[in-house]
Amino acid sequence: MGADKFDLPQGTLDLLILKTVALGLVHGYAIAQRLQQISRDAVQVPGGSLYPALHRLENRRLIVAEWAQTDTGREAKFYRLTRLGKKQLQASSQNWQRLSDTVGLILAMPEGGAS
Amino acid sequence: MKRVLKRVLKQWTRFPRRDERESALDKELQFHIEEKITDLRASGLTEQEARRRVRLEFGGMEQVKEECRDVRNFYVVDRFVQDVRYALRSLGKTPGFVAAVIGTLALGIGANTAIFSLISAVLLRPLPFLDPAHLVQLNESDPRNGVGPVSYQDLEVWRNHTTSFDGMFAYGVVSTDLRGVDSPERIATVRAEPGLLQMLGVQPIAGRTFREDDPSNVAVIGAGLWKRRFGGDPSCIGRKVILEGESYTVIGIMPAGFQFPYRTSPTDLWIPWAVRQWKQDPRLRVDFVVARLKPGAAIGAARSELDTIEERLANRSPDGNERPRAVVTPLSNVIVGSVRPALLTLWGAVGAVLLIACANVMNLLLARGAGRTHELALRAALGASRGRLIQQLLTESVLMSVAGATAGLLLASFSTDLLLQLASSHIPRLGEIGFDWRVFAFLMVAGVGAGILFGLLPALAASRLDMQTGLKDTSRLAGYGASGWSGRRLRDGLVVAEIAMAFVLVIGAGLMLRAFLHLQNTPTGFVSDNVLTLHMSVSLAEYEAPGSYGRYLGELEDRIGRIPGVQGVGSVQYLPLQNWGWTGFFSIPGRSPYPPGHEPRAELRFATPGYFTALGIPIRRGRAFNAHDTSNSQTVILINEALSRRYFPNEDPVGQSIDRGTIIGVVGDVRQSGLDRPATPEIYNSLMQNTSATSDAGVSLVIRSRVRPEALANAVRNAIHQVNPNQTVFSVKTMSQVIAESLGDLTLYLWLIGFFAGLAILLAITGTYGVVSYAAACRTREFAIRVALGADRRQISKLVLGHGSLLLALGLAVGAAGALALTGTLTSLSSSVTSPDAATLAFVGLLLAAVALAACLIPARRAMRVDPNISLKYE
Repeated sequence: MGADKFDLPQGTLDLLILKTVALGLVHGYAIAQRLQQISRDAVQVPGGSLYPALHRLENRRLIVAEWAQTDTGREAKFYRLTRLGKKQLQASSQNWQRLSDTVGLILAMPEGGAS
Repeated sequence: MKRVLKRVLKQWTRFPRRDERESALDKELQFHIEEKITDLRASGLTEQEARRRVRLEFGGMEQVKEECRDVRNFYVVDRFVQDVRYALRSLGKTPGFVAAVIGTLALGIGANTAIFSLISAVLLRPLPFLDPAHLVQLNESDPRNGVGPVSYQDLEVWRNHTTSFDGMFAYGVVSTDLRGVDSPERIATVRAEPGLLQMLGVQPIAGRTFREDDPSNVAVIGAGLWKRRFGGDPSCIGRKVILEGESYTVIGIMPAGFQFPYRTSPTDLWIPWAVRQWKQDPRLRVDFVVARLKPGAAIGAARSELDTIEERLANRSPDGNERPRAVVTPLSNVIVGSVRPALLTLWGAVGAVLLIACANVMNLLLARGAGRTHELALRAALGASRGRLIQQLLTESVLMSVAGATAGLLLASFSTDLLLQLASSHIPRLGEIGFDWRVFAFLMVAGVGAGILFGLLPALAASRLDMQTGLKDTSRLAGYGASGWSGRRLRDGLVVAEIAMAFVLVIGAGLMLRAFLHLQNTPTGFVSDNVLTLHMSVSLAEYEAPGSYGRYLGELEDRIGRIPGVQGVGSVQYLPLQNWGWTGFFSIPGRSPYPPGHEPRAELRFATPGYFTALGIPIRRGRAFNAHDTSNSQTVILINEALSRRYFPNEDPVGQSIDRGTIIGVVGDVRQSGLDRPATPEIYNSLMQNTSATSDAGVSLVIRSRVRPEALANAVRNAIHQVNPNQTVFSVKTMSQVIAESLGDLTLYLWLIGFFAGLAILLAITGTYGVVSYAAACRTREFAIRVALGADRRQISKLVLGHGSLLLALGLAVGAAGALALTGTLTSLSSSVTSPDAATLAFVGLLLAAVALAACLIPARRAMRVDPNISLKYE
């Protein structure tokens, strides 16, 4: 395990899943794999968190699922973004960006410069 | 609501069935696991190690699945079905407990449903007329007489000068003698202005109602009369009925259930009332006026319009200040306004019974929950969240309460029949009682609401568990204290509340009983034992010659007096406690005129000479009427003591003359209008001299006997028919019955409140017993140790009794305070109910305490017999 693992802030998992699903038809295991790869092992989503989150997003109509064959010929449940999901992803990404910029700005303040 | 339903339905149909969903979830997770294992194996791990890693990643597989299900809407339905199934299984294991709960709730909800169906029929259901909200009754009110009938002249002015009304019609009710195909009967006939029935908007089932251009001798009959007299024959339109000797043609039949006006006895016959042909005379009054407001016209606007008119009239008339004011009352208030407070009080009482029942059930559930710790902890360990556990427990309680409500409905349907028999002559509209949507909605709300009310706290308490101790501790009786400080307080608090509510109800019942007994023992002014009374109608047309009706009555009384066992006979136009309210002014010559509004006024009664001895009314001074007072002699009157006291305080009235005749005697005061109302001034005329008062009212015969009065009824009837075969005789009653009927509504409310109070005591005592014995059972171990260490066994029983007494004392204190605060509501049932006094409180409190402590004795004795050898080994 290369990089340090860290805890995802509350609510970020949904955003990450949406982003991953936005890249194309994908099943649950692949989502977990991809998140781990892209984050260079920093983000490791256990199945116990991933699947309830997927079902929650499906229930909110942000993603839909269909059963299809994998490259290896196995049947898996593939997820894809809905229009609602796309909108949600956009809004959430912007939000995240703003938050991260703001936090970055504050954190970039030089210390000890009170005088 | 509809949208939600549509969404649920869409979800339900869109998604595969439950087992398919389950297998899909399995398959999805399985795929993940296998892919992962494959990858891990590829990276060089052994199969075993790979599986171990995956298991670690997922944690509890069941919990993950449960979490996935939790986020899906469609599992709500599944889960409910599952909960119900589970609840049925778990309840099925404890049939005794379930029976106790359902039985308790059936009593509580049943009694509530019965009273609510009464309220629904009487107070909530709109009157069965077209647009009943716009129907109003009009009266006139003046400072002297209060609210009363409307002057005919004013009615004409109102009709011609108002714009807020769509119609305004006068009506009156008279008691008439109906003859026709068979035996004569006495019925209430409604004289109504043509147009009134059309305004009510109820279509006749055959024929039509009368119009302005109809002759005066047409009649519309009700369904009851139609069935009774014409056997329900639809061709009876055009046939004749004889009313008071005059022939009327039947032109229409009203549907069953049509009542106008609402009276304690059904109205069955409507005839035209040609008020418009009356001459303009300010003294002529119509009995009642009913009107319809124009659509959109507010009752306030109608009121102010009539006020303006009355003001204008007042300015024109010479005695301007004496003008009456118009009073506009919604028709529904006229009909049921008087019973509303009483019904609401009854509802409150029966609601308290249900609350007590719920408290009892809640206690049972708390005890049951404490015994289920193990089961619940196991479920929690298998992945059920606290919410799920609460949902599960609530499903159980709601299932039981809905079952209780269903059983209660059966009870209610029996009791409404009983109520109908008891109350129909005291509560208007009761005939319309039935199971309508309001009652159904009430039942549902009561059922589900009670389930949540008594189930929520126990569910919260039971689901708040520590898995470690829950799974370890298999002891069912972990100790009263072990169920938590709050659980104990909750249980004790419930018992205190139960006792308090029961106490309030019993105090109420006690006060009503006191009022009832007090009224029953009130001196009436006459002697009611061994008196038979009956009513005869009079058609004066047959007795036109002066004094001939008096002679007829004399002949009847003479004939009846010769029946063996008869001690005295007399006649009066109004029997005490049955009819009253006929008053008239009088003046005493030589007195300076009384100020307006204070003119002497007296209740008028007409009697034959024998009346006073027959009913045992004492003659205080002078003499009674006798055979020499005839239509040819001087008009003589008797006055009662109340009149003598008020108008002749320092002189002897006997021998003095007033405008109504010469006073020949003073008779004792009689309670005429109710046992709770003292006598008012009265003037008696002799029926031998003046029969003018008898045509509408008829005459009541009073027969004092040496034997049981009921035994004389047939002989009396025969004697009357020997003199006049056509004489209608009805309402044959003993005087004691007449008194009992005058107390009818109080009796009814007394029975109902008494019954509810009895139920409340029963439930509260069972509740107290349950909690005290549960607490004692929880402390068995403690008691055993105490005994083993040498404690006196009586000391042990005192511990148990002490717990019960404390709860009881607190409950009684709270109840007494509540009763004092609620005094006002009880007077709505009868004005003679007084506020709670120390004696009643003490008596009722002691009674309740005795029963409750007796119930506590059982667990106390059980605790006393604790055998340390057995109890300490048992655990």
